[in-house]
Amino acid sequence: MFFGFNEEEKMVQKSVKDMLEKHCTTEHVRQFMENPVVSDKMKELFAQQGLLGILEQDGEGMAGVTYAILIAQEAGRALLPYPLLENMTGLYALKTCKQHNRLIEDVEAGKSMLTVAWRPENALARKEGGGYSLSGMLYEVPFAADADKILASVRIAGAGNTPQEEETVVVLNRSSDALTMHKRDGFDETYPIYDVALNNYPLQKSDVVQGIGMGIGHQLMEKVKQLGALLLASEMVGSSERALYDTVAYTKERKQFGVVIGTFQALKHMAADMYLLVESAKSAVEYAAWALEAGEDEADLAVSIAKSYSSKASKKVTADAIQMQGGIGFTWENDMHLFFKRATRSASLLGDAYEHNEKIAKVAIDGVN
Amino acid sequence: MDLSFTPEQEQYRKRVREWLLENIPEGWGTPQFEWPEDEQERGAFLREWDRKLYEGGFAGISWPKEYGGQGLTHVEEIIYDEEAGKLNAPSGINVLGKLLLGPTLLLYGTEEQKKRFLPPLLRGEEVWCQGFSEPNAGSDLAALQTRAELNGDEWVINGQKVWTSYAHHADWCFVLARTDPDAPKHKGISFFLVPMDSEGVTVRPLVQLNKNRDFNEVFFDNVRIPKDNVVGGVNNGWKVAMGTLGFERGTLALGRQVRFQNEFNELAKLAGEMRAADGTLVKDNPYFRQRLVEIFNDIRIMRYHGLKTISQLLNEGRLGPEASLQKLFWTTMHVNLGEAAMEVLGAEAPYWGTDSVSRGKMQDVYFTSRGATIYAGSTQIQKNIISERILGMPR
Ligand SMILES: Cc1cc2nc3c(=O)[nH]c(=O)nc-3n(C[C@H](O)[C@H](O)[C@H](O)COP(=O)(O)OP(=O)(O)OC[C@H]3O[C@@H](n4cnc5c(N)ncnc54)[C@H](O)[C@@H]3O)c2cc1C
Repeated sequence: MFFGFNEEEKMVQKSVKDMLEKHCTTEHVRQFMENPVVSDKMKELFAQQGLLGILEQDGEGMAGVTYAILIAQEAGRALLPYPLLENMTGLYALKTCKQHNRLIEDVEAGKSMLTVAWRPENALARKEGGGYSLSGMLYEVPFAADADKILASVRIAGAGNTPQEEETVVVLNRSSDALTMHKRDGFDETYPIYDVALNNYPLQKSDVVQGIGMGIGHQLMEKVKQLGALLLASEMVGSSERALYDTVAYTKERKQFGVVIGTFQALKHMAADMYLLVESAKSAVEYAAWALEAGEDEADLAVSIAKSYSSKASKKVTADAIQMQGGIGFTWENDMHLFFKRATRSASLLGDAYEHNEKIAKVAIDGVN
Repeated sequence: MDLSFTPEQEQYRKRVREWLLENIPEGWGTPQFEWPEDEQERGAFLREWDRKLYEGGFAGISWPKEYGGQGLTHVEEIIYDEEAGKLNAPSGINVLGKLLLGPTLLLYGTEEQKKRFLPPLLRGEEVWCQGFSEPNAGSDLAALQTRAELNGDEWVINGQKVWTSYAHHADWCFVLARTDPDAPKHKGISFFLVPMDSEGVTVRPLVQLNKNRDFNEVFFDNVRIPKDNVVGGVNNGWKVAMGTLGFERGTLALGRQVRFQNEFNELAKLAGEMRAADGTLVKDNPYFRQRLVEIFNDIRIMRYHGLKTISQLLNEGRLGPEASLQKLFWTTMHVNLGEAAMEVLGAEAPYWGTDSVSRGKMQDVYFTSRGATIYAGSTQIQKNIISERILGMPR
């Protein structure tokens, strides 16, 4: 029985933390907000760390989830403007299939960057010649303008008896002429999100990941989304923890009524509540990571708990951080709004608290009735 | 990270479960069970359970064998707690002895004290109560005024304690008293072991808001005890007491978690019977589904926190101020569970006991949960500890 991290895991977390403290300060993040292009430096750094491809299937369970949540936590702490989740979970998907070794190598080496279309609602491929012609929309595609490849689950007409069965995971060339992008005006400017329109995109069999239709794609995409949800929850833990600790530091400096505001019990109790939320979200994420690795039956439940809880917790913690800093906390110049906005975006995507709670209700409430 | 149990531990779990199934008193925990009206009879019933536990080898599971324990680890301890929780086994009457005094003696007691006090405690022969709080010393425990003066070979104790749980059943009380009135308030306190049948001890029962008679006022009027009945040295009682409170805040979490999960499951079943104001079954009503699941999530997370605490105990051998987090978390969660239960019951909420749809169970949660946010360091005190000792905010 050991609920914690071994030396190697701690070392990896620390090295990512050190790297981001140096190369991803809030000044860097703000530069990105002005000009949202992922820097080559960032791609290079993640390639050097050699951690992007750490998630893998391992029998009933998985390997690398513990490392992945620790890395994601640091990404959240640094407000990292880079599609970390998308590359980690995208590589996981590619690695379930034999025909993408070349791409896997390129992504791991930082030569190619992936993104994932989290909501490909009506993209449909029809047979044409030896391949398919794919048309429709992919929504919620982070960093699409910078990515080289987009992983998406699209429908291939006739590949199953239901639309769900037709779902097929494919990798698309972002630079294809058949593809146009529209950047959404998101308030979390550390994480640009695009809609992508596909107009007769020439899809080849070699673009397919794992298999065509028959429910295979649906299952794979559900897994990718689940991993994404857990990593996003871990990011939220990292950002809320930083918002809390930066705020606590501020309360030890700022004086009012002749004393530092940190002496006011009203603020202390807010901080204690925030600490409770952060630590509880952290435990939920860690437990879910363990459950996935160990292939526990309750893994799905644990991930939903982690995403639901972190979503609520991180919005509350980052909002209270603004309150505790007063007027300065409401300015653009102060960093708290960056955390608050990132938390709100993360809470809303990959299943908000409501959606995950509904999944949990099937077990917690319907399961006993 | 490894949160699984070994095959040996799973074997132990099986043994615990079998033993409990065989030994839990007939009908216990069901509405048919007739709980004696008389407090003394209730006490006798619970003592009998403690005795059975000892004979079954389930008392002092992680305590050393030489003091009557089983010499196993905290893992076996939590396995017992979890199984007992699942089957809703009685908790016995020596909760404070087992939870607080035992670990305190193991840490600070002399060899004689451990030999003298631990075995009868585990056998269910000597029940303990905790004499810390006083009318003018609650959260500010160090302000306590009960005095102890050395007179020859004996300490003479004078003063009053209050909210003393189980004092009316107890054979012994561990008492904090002031031994140096001139020292700074944390420095002049000692930790005493006092027989409840001593001349000069008076116990006056108090009725709690849930109508239970679990706590009391205790008066000490020139009570004389042997000189050696001090734990951890004269004037060192504050340090000893703080260790005790750490046990109170940190352990037992997993057994409690299982009991909360049982309560939640009963509430979820009620949600399958009760109707919301719009006529839908509560369980199908989106508001209630969300409300209940958030509590379910908290109960699961309470388990994760519990596992972390146990892991810390096993691997580092001690509990830090993080125990405050645990206590704050579960007490808040339990209040929330009680409140949600009253909402689910709607117009059927205001009736308790056998007149209640839930046979009083949900009302019991609702009221009992209001005590836990006060004892063992109130919610506000826990928040002070977290903000000052963990986050380092200035006093
Ligand atoms: C069910 C139950 C069982 C108990 N059993 C025992 C027992 O067996 N033995 C025993 O010794 N005691 C026992 N107690 C007593 C318990 O430990 C005290 O009630 C507790 O320490 C609070 O003290 P108090 O009641 O004097 O409240 P007070 O300390 O007067 O507190 C009143 C209010 O002020 C708040 N407050 C106090 N100080 C601060 C501060 N510094 N900052 C912010 N807010 C503050 C508190 O949170 C509370 O809301 C029991 C209590 C209950 C409810």
